This record gives sequence, C-alpha cells and structure tokens, in this order.
Amino acid sequence: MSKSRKRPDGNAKVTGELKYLTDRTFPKMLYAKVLRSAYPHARIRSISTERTKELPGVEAIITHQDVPGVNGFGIITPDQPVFCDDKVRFIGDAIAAVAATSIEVAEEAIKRIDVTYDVLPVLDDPEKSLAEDAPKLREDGNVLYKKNFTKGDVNEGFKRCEAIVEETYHVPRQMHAYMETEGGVVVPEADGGITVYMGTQHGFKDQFQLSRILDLPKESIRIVSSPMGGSFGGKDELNVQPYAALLALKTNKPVKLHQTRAESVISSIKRHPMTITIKTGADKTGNVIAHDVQIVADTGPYATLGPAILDFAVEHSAGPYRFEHVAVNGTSVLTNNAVSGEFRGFGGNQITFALENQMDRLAEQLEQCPTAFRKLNLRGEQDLGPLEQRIVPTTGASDVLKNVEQLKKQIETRKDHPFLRTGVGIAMAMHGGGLGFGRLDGAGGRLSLSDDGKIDVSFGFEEVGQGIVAVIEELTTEALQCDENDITITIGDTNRVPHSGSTTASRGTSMVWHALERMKQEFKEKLCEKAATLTGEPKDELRLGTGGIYKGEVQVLTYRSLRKQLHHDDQVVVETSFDFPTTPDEVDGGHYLYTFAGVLAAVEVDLLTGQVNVTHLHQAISAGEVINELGYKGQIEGGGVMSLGYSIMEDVVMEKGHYTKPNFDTYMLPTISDVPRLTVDAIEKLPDGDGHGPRGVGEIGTVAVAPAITKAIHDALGIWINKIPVDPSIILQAVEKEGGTWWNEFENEQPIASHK
Amino acid sequence: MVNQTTEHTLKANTVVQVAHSVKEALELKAQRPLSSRLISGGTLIQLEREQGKVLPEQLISLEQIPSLRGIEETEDFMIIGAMTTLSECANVECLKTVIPTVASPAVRNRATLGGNLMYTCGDTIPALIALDAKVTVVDGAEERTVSVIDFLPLRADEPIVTHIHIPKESVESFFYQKVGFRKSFSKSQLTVSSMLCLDNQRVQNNVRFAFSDGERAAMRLTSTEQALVGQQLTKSIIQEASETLRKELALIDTATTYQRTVAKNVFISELINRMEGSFE
Ligand SMILES: Cc1cc2nc3c(=O)[nH]c(=O)nc-3n(C[C@H](O)[C@H](O)[C@H](O)COP(=O)(O)OP(=O)(O)OC[C@H]3O[C@@H](n4cnc5c(N)ncnc54)[C@H](O)[C@@H]3O)c2cc1C
Repeated sequence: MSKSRKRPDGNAKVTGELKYLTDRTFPKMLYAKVLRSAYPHARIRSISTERTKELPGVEAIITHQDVPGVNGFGIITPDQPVFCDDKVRFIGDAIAAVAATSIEVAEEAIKRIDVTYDVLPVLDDPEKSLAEDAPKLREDGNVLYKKNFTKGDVNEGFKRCEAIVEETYHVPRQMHAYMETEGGVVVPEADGGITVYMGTQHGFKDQFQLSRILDLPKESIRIVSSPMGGSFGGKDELNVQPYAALLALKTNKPVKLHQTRAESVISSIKRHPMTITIKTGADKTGNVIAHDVQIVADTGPYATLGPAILDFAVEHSAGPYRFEHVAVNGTSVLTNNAVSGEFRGFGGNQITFALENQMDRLAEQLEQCPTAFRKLNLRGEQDLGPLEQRIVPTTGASDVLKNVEQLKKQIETRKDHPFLRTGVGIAMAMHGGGLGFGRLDGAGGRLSLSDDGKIDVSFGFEEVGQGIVAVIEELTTEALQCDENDITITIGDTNRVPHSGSTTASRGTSMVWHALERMKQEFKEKLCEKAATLTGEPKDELRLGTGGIYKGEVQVLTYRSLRKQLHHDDQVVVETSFDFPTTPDEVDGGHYLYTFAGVLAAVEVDLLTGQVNVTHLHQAISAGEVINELGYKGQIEGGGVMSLGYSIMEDVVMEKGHYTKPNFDTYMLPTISDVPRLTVDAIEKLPDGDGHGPRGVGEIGTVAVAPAITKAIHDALGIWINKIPVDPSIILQAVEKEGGTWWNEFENEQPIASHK
Repeated sequence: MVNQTTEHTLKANTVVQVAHSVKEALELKAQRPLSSRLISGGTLIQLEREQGKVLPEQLISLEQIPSLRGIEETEDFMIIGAMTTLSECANVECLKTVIPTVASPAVRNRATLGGNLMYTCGDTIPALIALDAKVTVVDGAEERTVSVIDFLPLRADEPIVTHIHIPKESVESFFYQKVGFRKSFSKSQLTVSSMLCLDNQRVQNNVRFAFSDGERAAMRLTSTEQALVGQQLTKSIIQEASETLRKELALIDTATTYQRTVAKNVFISELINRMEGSFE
C-alpha cells in the first residue's frame, strides 16, 4: 500500500484546471454586494435605498426588513445579525445587500444606499469593555463568557515555591488568509428551495442555519460545499451565504456573491487576540507546584465559537504537564473589534505560547536545562487529562520531547557572524481532538455499490485543501482491499452525503477511520454474499480485491458485473453513525484523544535590523498512524509556516475599531522566501491495545511553533519575548541597550589592518 | 413572459489612449493636462486603484513607443529606456542586487524602471542616486538630462521620462539594502544605498549615501559623505562617520527611531566590511 500516494485532487488544483464553487456561473445570474457598516459602533438612525432604485440593472435591495426568519446567525447562538437594524457593533456588520446585473452596478448601488448613524463610543480593547462605565454591547454586559478551572489551592502552593515567574503575554489577531475568499452562487430551484454552492466546513450546519434565517424547511436547502480554496476554521461559521440566498429567493435568479480580499478582511472572523497573565512557581528541585492563569480574550461583538475557544484555552493551560495546584480564570470579552472565532488550533496556540514561555523562564531561574525541567513535570502514560478527566493512555508527551531533545544535541552551534546571532529553541504542546465532552459530536459515513459498479464511499466532510479526499481514498482501499479505480468518493453535498459532523477539530481522518472500521466487515460480507449467490461459490471463500470479488487468486466477478446482475432494487448499502469518542467523566468540554507536538526552531537574528530569520523548523508529532505521508507532512509543514507568520509577522491591527492593514499589501503573510528548512518526524507508536486509530493532524502543527521561535531568540540574544508577532524594533532596542553587541566588538577588537 | 436579464454596465470613467511616439504622448497630455496620467506597466496605478484612488479620465499608455524600450551600452553608460521592465533591468550588472528586492516576479515582468522612478518612494531610487544615474525627461518641448536627485522634485510636473543613464562605475563599490517586513515581496521599511570607492583604503570623491524611508522621496546624506571624502578608512574614521551619520539621520524628523537606527547600523556595517582586515 503506497502511503505516499498523490492526492486525487492534486493535479487539477496545481494546474488550475479545477473549478472552485466561486468559479461557477449560471444563466441569468445576478451579482451581489453587501453594504457593511461605516462605523465600528453606532446607532442606525435611518436606512434609505431610494437612490439605489433609480439605478438601471439593480434587481433587488434587501435590509433587515427582508429576513423572513431569524435575523441572526451563529453556530451556537444566532446573535450576529444577518442585517443590523438598530445598531452596528463592528466595522464588518452588514446593513443591506444588492443584486444587480453586473458587479459594477452592484458596487455603485451599495454606494447609493444612505445610512445615517449616531456614532457611539468604540470599545476597542477588552480593558475598555470591562470598565465600570463602559457602554453595554448586550443587555447583560460585555462579558460574553467566563470559564474557570481549579485544582488544589494555588495560594497554598505558592508558599512552597522557591522560584516564581509572573508575566503577561500578548498574542495577535491572525487572519486565516485562505486563498479563496468567501462566496459562491445560490440558485433558486423550481420547488421553491435553493441550492447553495458555497464553501463551508459543515454543509448540514449551514443548511440548519439558513433554514432558520430563510424560514424554509431544511429539506428545501441543498448545500454543495466542496471543493474549496482553504478555510483553516474560517468558514465553519456562516459568512455570506444568507445574503446570496435571500437575494436569490427574492429575484428568483441565481445570485453570485464573491468577496474581494478587502471585503473579506473587513467581514471575516479572526483568531482571538488574548492577553494572558501567568504566575508559575516551582520548588527547588524543579517541580512546578502552582500555576495561576488569567486569560482575557478579545472576542469581538458576537459569540460564534468564542465560548468553546475559551474552554479550549482554559483546558490546555497546563498543557502536557502535571502541576499540583492550578487555577485558571478565562474571560471572553465583547468589543467593537473584528469577530474572533474558530481558527486552526482553537485557543491552543495562544495558551501554549504563554505556557511554554513560562516553562523556559522558570527553568532559567532554577538554572535547569529547559528540557530536563519539562521532563520532570511531564505527564505519564496513565495520567489524567488536564481537566482531571480520564483520557486515552498516551506516551506522546515524552516521545515528542525525546525526539526534539535528540535533534537539539545534534545541532552544532555555529560560529556567530559579526552581525548575526543564532539560537535554537524547543517547545511542545498537547492538543485535544474532537469537540469535547457534552458537545454534539456525531459522525458517520456510508458505503454503497453504485449503479455503475463502483464502490461509493461517502462522508459529510469537506475538502478544504487539507487532503481529506486522499485520506478517504487511502483508508477505503485499505479497508476493502480494492484499489482507487474501484471507488468513487462523494462529499460536500447535503443531498448526497450522510451526516459526519463538521470538518473541524482535527476530527476528519479519525472519523473516516472509525466509520470504515464499523462498516467494512458488513459491507464486504454483503458483497460476498451477493457474489456467492450469483456464482455458486461458497461465500466464506470469497473476498474483495482489485476490480472485483476473488476466490483465492482468481477473480470470480467484477464489481461492475456484480452490480449488473443484481436486481435494480437490490441495493448494497451500509451506513453508520456514532459519536466522537469522549471521556467517560462528566467534564464539560474535556477531551479524550490528544495529539502532541515537539518543536525545534533555529533562528538567525540580524543585529543590524532586529529581524528574525527562522532557518529551521522541526516538528515531532505523535498522532498515531500516518495515513497519507504527503498529506501528513503537508499539514505539519503548512501549519508550521502558518505559525511562523503568527510568530514574526502577522497581526490584524485595529485602531479604534478600524483595520489598519486592509489588504495583503500591508498584512504580511510568509511567502515562499520566508519558509525555512522544514523537517517532520511522525511518531506513530501508540500504547498496546489502543483501538482509536489515527488521530487527525490538522491543527497540531500550528500549536507550539511560536514559543520555540521566541525561545530560539532568547538563546541567540538572551532576551525574553512576551508579545508576538516579534517586533524587530524591540529586539533592536535590546541590542542597542548593550551598546550594540557588534559595535562593541568592533570598537574593542583590533582590526587586522591596523596591526600591519 | 420570459424573465429577461439584460446586462447593465456603467459608463467607463477612464479612457486609455495609446501613444506611438513621445511627441504624441506629449500632445495627448497637453489636451487634458489635469485629467490625464501616463501609464507604463500600470502596476503602481493598479495598486493605487486597489487602495481606492480614482482613476483619471484619460490614461496615456507608453507601451507602443519602441524608442523607450531596451538597454544600450556605451563606453561610459548603461542607457536604459524608461519602458524597460524591471525583469529586464535585472540583467544590468549594477542593478543585480536591487531589482530582486522590488515587488514580485510577476509584478517585475510588467513594472518599468521609468514607472519606479516616478513612484514617490520607488525602491530603485536610492540605488540610482548612489550610482549617480541621470534621467532624460521631456517636458513640453524641452528635453533635458538631470541627475536623479535633481529629478525628484521635478516629478510634480509630470514630465515624460525617456531614459535612465547609469555610469559604469565600480560595481564592487556599490551597496544596496532594502529592509522590508518579510524576506521578499514587501513594502520597504527603509532602503539604503551607497557608493564608496576606495583607493588604497582612501575614500574617493564620488562617495554617495542615499536613504529612503519607504514613504517619502529618497535623500542624500551629504554630511556623512563629507565626513568620509578623502579619509583613510580606519576604525576611528568609521567611529566618527557613525556619529555624523547618527546626527544627520536625527535631522530627518519624519523617520522613526527604528528607521534611523537601522539605517545607521547598515551603513556602518558596510563601512566595516569594506575596511581591510576588520572582523577577520
Ligand atoms: C503588488 C505590488 C507590489 C509592489 N511592490 C513594490 C516594491 O516593492 N517596491 C517598489 O518600488 N514598488 C512596488 N510596487 C509599485 C510599482 O509596481 C513599481 O514602483 C513599478 O516600478 C512601477 O512601474 P510601472 O511601469 O508599473 O508604473 P505605472 O503604474 O505605469 O506608473 C507609475 C507612475 O509613473 C508614471 N509614469 C510611468 N511611466 C512613466 C514615464 N515613462 N515617464 C513619466 N511618468 C511615468 C505614471 O503616470 C504613474 O504616476 C508594487 C506594486 C504592486 C502592484
């Protein structure tokens, strides 16, 4: 079995041959544009569309008055208005939408919609929102959600500590920056329903949310959602689907809505910026005794998955370590900034940056090797999970740490160039998969023999670029011992797929494996039984293979002829539905399956400019069996590069609720020139008897990169970084404070020329 | 009745006129001096449009003027037509370190050297100053050739740039560095360039230092140049030059502390690199 098989969707994507949903056009199609707010916080006094109506080519203008159902969306709570009626709460809030015969007319039309506002004070920082006299963004105040966790008594714990580190960390608002911006086409159907051709991570959830907004039965809404050009968590929540849907229903014509990059920046969700204050103390020998964590997340004005992300950050506050006393207080605060929501890593990246920095600072204070210090505090195979819940036994934590420790020993510290300093840092992370205890987390799949004699394997997952199609192909051919030409894969269409849950939380690969484990035997038996009846061969001697059914090494029937010889109504279908495995302990949100990452980063710091050049990023991942080598590497390397951006360049800066970097000319993402040497070690071993199969690796490659990079900077220069992205001017200041290391050397050294 | 959709488009606000000679371009420009703009590669104009700047009523394309294209080598100069793309310019020896720092390969395939010179803070400008390049411009009926530094204020009158002349000075003595926000395809935070010819470690008269803050027009750092001219490049001279440079950069009140510090560091590191035997 070739584990490095090429992605079935690879060629078409690389050559540009593949048509994305946003590339589709339909006869009589109209183009839509959405009018977004002019202010981050204001009361809407009036909305007038009079001047728009005169414009030839405008076919529909809609506002809050045109929403037949619930005027709101949100995966958990529908609190984000489809169209604002009385108030706008961030600069991406929608007020109206237009459908016209061309994009130009639609653009002109939204300019002609007159909105008058009473401007309100802008809460552009959680601190401002939490102030006593702050205006309230919702009736019950500006705290969206609080989550606490306590174990033991930290105050007692600190009394026994010899070394204590207290620090505040700041992590930025990051953009998903998927290549394909939000959009697609909504087509009205003859039966009064619609088909939505738009990327999402969860077609059935979109169907549910749209049915609530449009006041249409779910069955009347078909969501076609794959393939899409990237998501990274950014398209799990609804985005522009409601506008195109409402306009399509109103005009009875297909409506295309595809956001420009600038429109996407304004309206899309972002990664939560967080301010994390931690006090951590250890005894003389290095055992961490107490760990006190305060997390404040800027969640923007609406909920989306803000609460779940805070839960995740709180859960992972002590990461892969076992500390005696832990207290975590998390607060997700409403502001007039961008809506923060789901993003690869789901709150883990933020807390891991802070936690790993604490570990390094404490090790330094104790004059211990950071790796030895980590080992001392690391969880064991049978230990409880971070919320004191039972989890699947795992040696992942020590396995990944050993791996990076080995590599660090091999890396020779190279002689420094006069204007450069080099350094190496390591960091690690533990990351839960699935949605966690108490959350609806159903999955499922279907195998069938289709009319053309192919084995159709079907899931409700989406191909967002992560490679789920390759995973399905690999696992199905392995489970059924057939080859890729024998199967068809059906995903991304609510009319044709079973419920599998969302393509999120690193659950895809894991759920495909579980589903096939449940279905394969029954499916094989059904096929062999039919084949036995048709051929007269004993059923027990038949098996599935490439191209058909075999007895020993002899093919007795092809899948095609098997299908042909069956009566039309004699369908061979096996379906399964089940839940993502969760901890048996009733710990809300607690995870059961965890993956681990150990990261080593090597950097070169330019003493002249303060700029950081990451030269090597190594990740050791413990996530069980590798299903597809290229896909696995792609996830870890791609995740690493994404987090390199998070560490040294990306920040969606907002001033007074406005974006200061409205497009990719100023919002810096890593380009191929910034990509360092990348290496990945997959640690596939799982404890004996682990029946949970491969874990997903969609997120783990992003989680522990930032602290490894900042530790490498510390190794190079001796300075601690508590804010990312790393600001070169801070590094330069530190260098200059010492009189400029290189300059001192120059001044104090005798250049050879003057010896002569 | 069949539901018919007819496409309504808005009247185009901008007309593109294609000039076939410099003279024709001048005439077209003279017809609507206030509402027209020259366009070469169009990459800057495209960037500005994306940023929300409204296009003028008339764009005058220089693409069909063959005399503005190509690179010619004379005994003393490399003469580059204004319409020559940046990708082509990358073949010119002294621009080899410069061109790859501008935009991306795709942009450079369209962007022209003339367009870059007309861009307030074009990244090639500090290099062209350090190289002592001259620019031929046509303004009304007049054609003149001036140094790049003298040309910069003339840009406000929107002359047509026809050629850039780069003296064939020593390439080894030329230095250029752009500090962006990432390794490539970035706006400049600052760009510095210098020409420092040494004869027996003595700084020759043609020393030139140029600085750009990535927003405003590039400038020469003449006090620093003066501090170096005729001096033997020694440790103490570098120390003095460093102090002069610090003071001179401090006078640029639009520059940030970061820009000043980095500019100083980068220039001084270049002096140290050029000093014989340093850091060996
Ligand atoms: C994505 C992107 C990234 C970029 N990155 C950089 C960068 O890193 N560094 C940088 O310096 N620039 C950058 N630019 C800006 C621009 O591409 C370059 O400055 C380019 O050299 C401009 O040349 P052009 O021929 O495209 O100019 P055009 O856009 O055609 O014109 C630019 C200006 O010059 C005038 N003009 C053009 N030709 C002449 C002429 N012969 N005589 C007189 N006036 C003329 C025009 O009227 C206009 O005002 C970038 C642009 C884009 C789109």
